[in-house]
Amino acid sequence: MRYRIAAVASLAALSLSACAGGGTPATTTTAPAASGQELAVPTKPVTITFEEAMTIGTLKPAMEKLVSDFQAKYPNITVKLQGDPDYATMYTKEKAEVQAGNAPTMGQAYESWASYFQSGGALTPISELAGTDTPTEMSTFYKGVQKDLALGDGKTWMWPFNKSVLILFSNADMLKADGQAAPKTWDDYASVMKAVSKNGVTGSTIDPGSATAAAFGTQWFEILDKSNGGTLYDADGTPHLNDAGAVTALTYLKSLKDAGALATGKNYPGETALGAKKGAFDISSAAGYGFEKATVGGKFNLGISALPAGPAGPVNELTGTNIVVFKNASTDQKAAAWAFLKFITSPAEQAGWASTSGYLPVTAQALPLMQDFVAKNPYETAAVSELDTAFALPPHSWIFKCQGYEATAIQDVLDNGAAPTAALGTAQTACTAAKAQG
Amino acid sequence: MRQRPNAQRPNYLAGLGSLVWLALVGLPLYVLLISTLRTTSNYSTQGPLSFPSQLTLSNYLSAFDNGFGQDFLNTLIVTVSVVGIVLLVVPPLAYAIVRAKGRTISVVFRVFLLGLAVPAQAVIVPMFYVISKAGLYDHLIGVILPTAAFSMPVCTLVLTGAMRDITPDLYEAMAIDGASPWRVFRQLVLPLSKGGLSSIVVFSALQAWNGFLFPLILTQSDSTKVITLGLYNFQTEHGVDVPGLLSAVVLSMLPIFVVYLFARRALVQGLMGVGGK
Amino acid sequence: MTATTTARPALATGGRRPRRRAPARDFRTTRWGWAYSAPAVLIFAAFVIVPTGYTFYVSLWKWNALNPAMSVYRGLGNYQRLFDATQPTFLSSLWHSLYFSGAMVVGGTALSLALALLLQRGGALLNASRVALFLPHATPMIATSMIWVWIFNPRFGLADWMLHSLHLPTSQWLQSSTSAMPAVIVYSLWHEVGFTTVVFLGGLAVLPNELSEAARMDGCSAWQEFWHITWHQLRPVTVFVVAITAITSLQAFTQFYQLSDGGPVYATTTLSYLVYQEAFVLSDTGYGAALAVVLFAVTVFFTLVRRRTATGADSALT
Repeated sequence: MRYRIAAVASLAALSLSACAGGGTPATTTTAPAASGQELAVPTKPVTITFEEAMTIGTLKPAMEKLVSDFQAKYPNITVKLQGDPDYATMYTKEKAEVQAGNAPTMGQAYESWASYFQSGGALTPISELAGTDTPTEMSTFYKGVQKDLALGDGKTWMWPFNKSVLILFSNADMLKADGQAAPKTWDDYASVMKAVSKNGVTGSTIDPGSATAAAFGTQWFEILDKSNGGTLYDADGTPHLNDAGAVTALTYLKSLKDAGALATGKNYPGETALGAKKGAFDISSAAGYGFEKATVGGKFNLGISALPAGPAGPVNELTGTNIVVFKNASTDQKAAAWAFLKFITSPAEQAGWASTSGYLPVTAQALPLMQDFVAKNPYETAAVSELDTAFALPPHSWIFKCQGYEATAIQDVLDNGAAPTAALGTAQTACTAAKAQG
Repeated sequence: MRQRPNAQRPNYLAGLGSLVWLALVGLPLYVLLISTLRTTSNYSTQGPLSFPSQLTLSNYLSAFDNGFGQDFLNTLIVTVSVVGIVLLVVPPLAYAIVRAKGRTISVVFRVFLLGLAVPAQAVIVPMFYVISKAGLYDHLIGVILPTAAFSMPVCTLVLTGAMRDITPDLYEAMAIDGASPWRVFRQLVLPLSKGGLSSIVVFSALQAWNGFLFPLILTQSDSTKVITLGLYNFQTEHGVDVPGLLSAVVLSMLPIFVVYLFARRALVQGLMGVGGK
Repeated sequence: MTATTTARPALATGGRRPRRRAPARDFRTTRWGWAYSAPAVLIFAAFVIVPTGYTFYVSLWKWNALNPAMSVYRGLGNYQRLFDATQPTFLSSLWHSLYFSGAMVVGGTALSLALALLLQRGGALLNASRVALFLPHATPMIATSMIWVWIFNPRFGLADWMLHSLHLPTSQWLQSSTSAMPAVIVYSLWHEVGFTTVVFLGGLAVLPNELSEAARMDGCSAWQEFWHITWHQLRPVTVFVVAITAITSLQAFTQFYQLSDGGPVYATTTLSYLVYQEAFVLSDTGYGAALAVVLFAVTVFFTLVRRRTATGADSALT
């Protein structure tokens, strides 16, 4: 991975030809056999870096508490946070740092990112840290979270971090004034949305995402597809973007848009519209509670409920990221990183983290330790129960592109009035090509 | 700005046209300023032009909490260094292009002009390799050098234009006097291309101050963050702090605005040189 | 630097008769040109020429950015993909580049020339707009793009509010494929016109007056005077403005990045935005490099075409 170029200014282009031709040994891309030995927590001073998108913005206290608790327990380990404002920037930075031979010890990563990093031999498998591919701690996690830690080779490469599911925020006063109850099915939701869309109010405003980043609107579409019995991607990443379930889902969104009950926007438009009393609903992450509350600012009662269900029952999708440990770290750093990962997923830390950040605890053992928070936030119980069933898209590097194609199809239908079948057909073709490119 | 002597009669059409322009420029800036004085929860419920019912300066304080001071300092360092480098290396180059004989120098000139056609984002991946192999990744100098290099083609173009305006007689006179090329450069060429020099100062300073792509890709820590990246701290996962963001935008424009008010004449005159004779 | 006469102003040296001719010290007959150009050439080579050459090289590979040793040679494969790609197609992004650049060149040149003429002719009324003239261009594009995202917000934005107040039809602005590019153009004009106006003002300020006066004495209307005299005299400046606007708009990136993200449905994905997206966001580095080479070629092509059509007097400008 590390090669030198003697004269940067003049020879870079020439010497790289030698490198690319195979001058350096290719790094391994498969997980080595588990050693059976868990890395011992180092006793001498060691500094580890963590690339994250938490400390910029309102989640700073929650993140910093995790770090200070950890450092109190292991005074010889220093955790240096490298904060990024958002996930798109974070992914760009992480890639850049890996390319520069300057990777952080750990970083937040979505499944498709981890798959990309692994394909370039940039990750350390969990087995190298824990001595086993299935550390005992894993069994305490919610089932949906457990399933979300492996990559395409079936091995464990990630550790859970800020996990959440989508929930439905609403203007409770507006619904009450209109005599509407919280919707139980997506059909209910459509009729309530249409009913409240009058006098300048649009039921809800969503961000469909863009070619380079999925948004909650993209995830809503994915959830609708599955609740219609669809499967967007097989486990091996084969796309079915224009199957019946997907077409039904997108047609549903289109009918809402055509009825004036759905609008599109950018930069958390649902939150803005809800706060401005121009929207009745916003589908967002449970972790967005603090932001929604700040935007509403006491102007009305903020309603919170679980997502409505579809014909295939209630479906939810995991949001948020996992943590990966990069390859270039020293053994001591890897050992310290592993201690950090285990520490932050321990029940006590999860209880504290979940209560302050709004993210869901990844283990049910945290719930008894956060009773105050659960009492004040009744949605929490329902939300964590969905962590057992919530799905995640299969972990392949091209899924990142394909989510962009999904988002583009949604834009094409909602903004340009394209036919759902045609738009999804285009997405399917592009995604198939992306899979072939690898 | 020199007035044409025959332009005194007031032209009402012209006046109207410029007032429209003034509104076009001013309105966005007014909205920007007003929005920064609103609280987060009421910026969207009131009309965009109405004066806020509750005034608050907390948004500006939050900008400083987000490290705006450090960002400002970094941007200043980058800007001053880029201007310094450009002023050090471009005038001798332009002088050589204008005065030296030979095929090589005219090839050099052509290559620099071809550089105009290289978009920064087209070389961003190789740039990244060059910077990281040179150990400059996440250092301000790693932003300064590419920024300076990319502002060179326009600066060279402008400055050679200005230097070509110096009449050959003056060179002859100094040569006859036995002046060395260096003395000609210092005593004749530099003083007579002041307009061109101020043009390239303005141009490279704006490039550096407003630069976005190179800092985005080539730096990563708080200690090397520049203003344009700092703005992103307000646009985070799960939500945008609009008044906070806009306050930072105001703060990022403030230094330019102040410089602009005081040095408008020099700035505009400098840029007027760009178009050549 | 043989400083016998250093303190004397340079211009005064012409008056004295030389003791001896010193032709060897004439810059034009020495090889010292290298010493003067070397620092600039070195920096330029390291940070522009080498990366550009490298981009050509990368464009021939299925480049593995994380681990270049794992790259696979593709020859012209990435260039073939230009014509296979569907989301977005290469031709659509090329068309968006030309659409944007064309609008900027025509709109920007016309608008800034008109503004320059207005400002030059108007009286005291205009002092305020003189102050405002250049301001937008001095603001960081990333910062003002962020403001315009809110101005263009189809539900809460200023643009919508104003059109609504005037009972004019509103637009979805950045939210629709048809209006997104015009919206980006409106913003870009707002940001760029100050610069080109000042360049035109500079040109107008040094125009000789005799021809205009003669024309007026001959009874030419203001329009005729402009068309036959001023416009003609301004030709070198116009050529410069057109060239620089064409180049900067072909390379424009920040406003697309911040305002529209290349969307919706790739409606604002220009070649220059796609280069960044493929190479850096989607990690398709080899393909991104091939796009970059094409963008470079397109820009050079336009520069050459312009040089062909330009008259000799101003060909030094580009």
